[in-house]
Amino acid sequence: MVNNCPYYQRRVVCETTIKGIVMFGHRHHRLFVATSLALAASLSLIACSSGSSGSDPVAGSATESSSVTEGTTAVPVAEPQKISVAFNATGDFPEPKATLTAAKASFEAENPGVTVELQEEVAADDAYHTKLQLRLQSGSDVPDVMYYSPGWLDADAAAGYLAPLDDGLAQWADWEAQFPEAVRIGAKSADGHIYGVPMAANDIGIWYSKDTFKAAGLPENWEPKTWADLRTAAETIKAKVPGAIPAHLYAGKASGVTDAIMKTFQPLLYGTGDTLYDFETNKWVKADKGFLDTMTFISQTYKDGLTAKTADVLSPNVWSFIGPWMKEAKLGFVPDGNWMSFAWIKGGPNEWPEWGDRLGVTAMPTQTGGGEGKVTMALRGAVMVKSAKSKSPELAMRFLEHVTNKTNSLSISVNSSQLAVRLDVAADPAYKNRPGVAEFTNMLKYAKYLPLAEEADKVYNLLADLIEQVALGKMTPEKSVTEYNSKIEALVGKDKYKG
Amino acid sequence: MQSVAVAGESPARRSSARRPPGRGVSRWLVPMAPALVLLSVFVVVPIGYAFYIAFTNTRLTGREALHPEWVGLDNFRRLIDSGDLSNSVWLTLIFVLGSALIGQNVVGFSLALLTAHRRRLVVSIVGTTVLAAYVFPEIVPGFMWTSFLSENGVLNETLGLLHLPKQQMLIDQPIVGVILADIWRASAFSMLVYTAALGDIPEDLMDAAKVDGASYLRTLWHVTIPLLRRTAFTNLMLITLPTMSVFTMIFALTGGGPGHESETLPMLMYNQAFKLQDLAYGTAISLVLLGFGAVLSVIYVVLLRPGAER
Repeated sequence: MVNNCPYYQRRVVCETTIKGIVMFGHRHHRLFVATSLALAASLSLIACSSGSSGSDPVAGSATESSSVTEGTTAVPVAEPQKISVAFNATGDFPEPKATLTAAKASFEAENPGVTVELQEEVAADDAYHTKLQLRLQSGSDVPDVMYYSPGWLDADAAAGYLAPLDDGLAQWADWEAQFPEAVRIGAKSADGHIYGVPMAANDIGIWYSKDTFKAAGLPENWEPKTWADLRTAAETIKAKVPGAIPAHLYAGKASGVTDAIMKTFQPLLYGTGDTLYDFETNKWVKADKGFLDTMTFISQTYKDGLTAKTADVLSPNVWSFIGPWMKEAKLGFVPDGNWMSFAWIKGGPNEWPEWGDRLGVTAMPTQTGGGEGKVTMALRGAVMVKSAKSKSPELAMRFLEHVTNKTNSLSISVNSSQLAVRLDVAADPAYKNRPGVAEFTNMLKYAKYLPLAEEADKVYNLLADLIEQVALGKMTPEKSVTEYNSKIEALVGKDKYKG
Repeated sequence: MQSVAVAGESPARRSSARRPPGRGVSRWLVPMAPALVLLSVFVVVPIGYAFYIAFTNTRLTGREALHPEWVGLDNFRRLIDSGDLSNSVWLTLIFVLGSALIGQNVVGFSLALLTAHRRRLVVSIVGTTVLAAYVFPEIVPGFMWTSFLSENGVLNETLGLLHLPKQQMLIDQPIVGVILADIWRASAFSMLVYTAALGDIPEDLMDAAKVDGASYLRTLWHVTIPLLRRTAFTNLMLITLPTMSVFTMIFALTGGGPGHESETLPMLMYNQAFKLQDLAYGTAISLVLLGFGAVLSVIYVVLLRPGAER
């Protein structure tokens, strides 16, 4: 239309066009208005509904199949000897691309005639997940195998997108032999089926910079026992180390809805003795004193200027700032995942050979030191899943086993600093001698879990919104409690709410 | 371009309509069939489907994705009860008022006025510059403005050089930030419309005003602006509807945040449908957006009715 008209060279044409439209507008008001309305309306709606056609091929498919030519399969088989594997790549984070690329090559070498097509999405987790959901919902152009976050499993399984893997895993010798019972039980969804094979595990502890602590006159072997200790350390850093960010508490929605919940809110809330979810009855509970105390702690920390700048807190890439902040001793401490060290290892975005000596790791203390004294959020790491609509379910299952074998599992744990789920990986020197591994593994004795029930995403969307508003000072902690309690029952449904 | 073609054909079609009909329906149905099929496949069906979804509890995940249920007006009730709607409607009104009605309109008119009857070179330079912003896909100005307004952006660096306090508009007043960016991007269209209309004003009227001793401002107020009134209406109509549904620009600049402070209706629709995975609720919001478009259009139709003025 008009905006495609190169103005400078063909000004006359442009002006004539505009005049034409204007004159047409004068002459045929109704028709013109009706057309504009129809256009505007259909555009806004098409934007919403076109997603469900989901037929666009994934942009930037990483590696095209190289050597394998089609038709070389000797034995005629029922299902296509080609599978597609979808995964996402975010910023500097090396996995799962590196491991999947290697797994593709070795899988194709072991199985002549088989083609593995890698479909890389350059997108953050939430956007990647939405795109997958749209493809899965449309039922056409569905990837056979997908790299998944465990938080998505229950809801997407209920939606019929994922295939249960119980039978396949039962026939796989490694499953019983190498995956500890806790991992195997933990892999089960609420409906009793297993939908994802775990690649790694993770937990949340507090990373602190010994350089910053030294500059502030704080102990280099820090072990906070209460929330007050956290406050004191942050206040000391603020007073003694100008320019340093005393503490970073994740509170923004942009980097991922569950970020602020699993790294900030839940570790604090468990430390008050309260919970969001009753794992015994599988029901959600109402916000109480612990909820209020947690929100108050977040609110106070932000209000007193003990955290990073608002622009950074709200950035979708805030997680990638931690690496350089720590390396340059610009940050005091941050509750974050064990995987953060991917930033400093060889080949990482902020290589720092001395990181193992200059950074400390400690577990999050409880509010007053009560209970077990510490809280560790234990997270199921990324999983590989099989689509329910896969046209090559057998081959897909074999690829799942291949990508979670010792070699590949070790590769992902080492490349991206994640904890092992396989016994043979955990025993491998290349894994167990790495800095941080021992601390984050020992911390698991205080393990608490993030509820991942089918309706959890609805709760987290609400909660993440409340945390962000409380941190920015746009909502009082008290108001966040009333907001939460007024909405939670309707969100999860009466039968899932305990009160 | 298409509109011009239709404009040219229109009189011919009207005269042919007066002729006695030939072989009945097929006379117009056959030539129009491709257009009707395309329209129904790409416009009518999606809109109808959206209408249907808005009354169910369809989600992108969970059991509602597999077995959506009819929930009647629940989505609309929730929209009103939750306060999402009032916030977004308010922000959309501010955005349309600030960007289209005031911003683009005034900036576009001023640019047209300032470049009218200037040297070719000046007109070319100004025209090309302004239009460049308009021909880029929205995402490009979106990123440009993000970096312009960001903490270490061009604006803050410049303010720093001048020893002025720094701004963080995208956090403190996000709606102002997106309005400014949208004015910058979209004013070119209004400029083109007004440039064309200004060229149509008869020279003798201007000369007459000059002979009567009218100053430039008086001529502007009593001759130019009254003559441009209908153009202004048409222009407003052309820019209001697209401005109301601006998505990419706001998405790139703020994503609707912080909190919900720049969550206009299209942003709310996207966030609910695709970020919070509530497809049905998002679709209900799109119907509200459609309703607003319809109301605005009716207002313009009434205002533009032949004989409504004069």
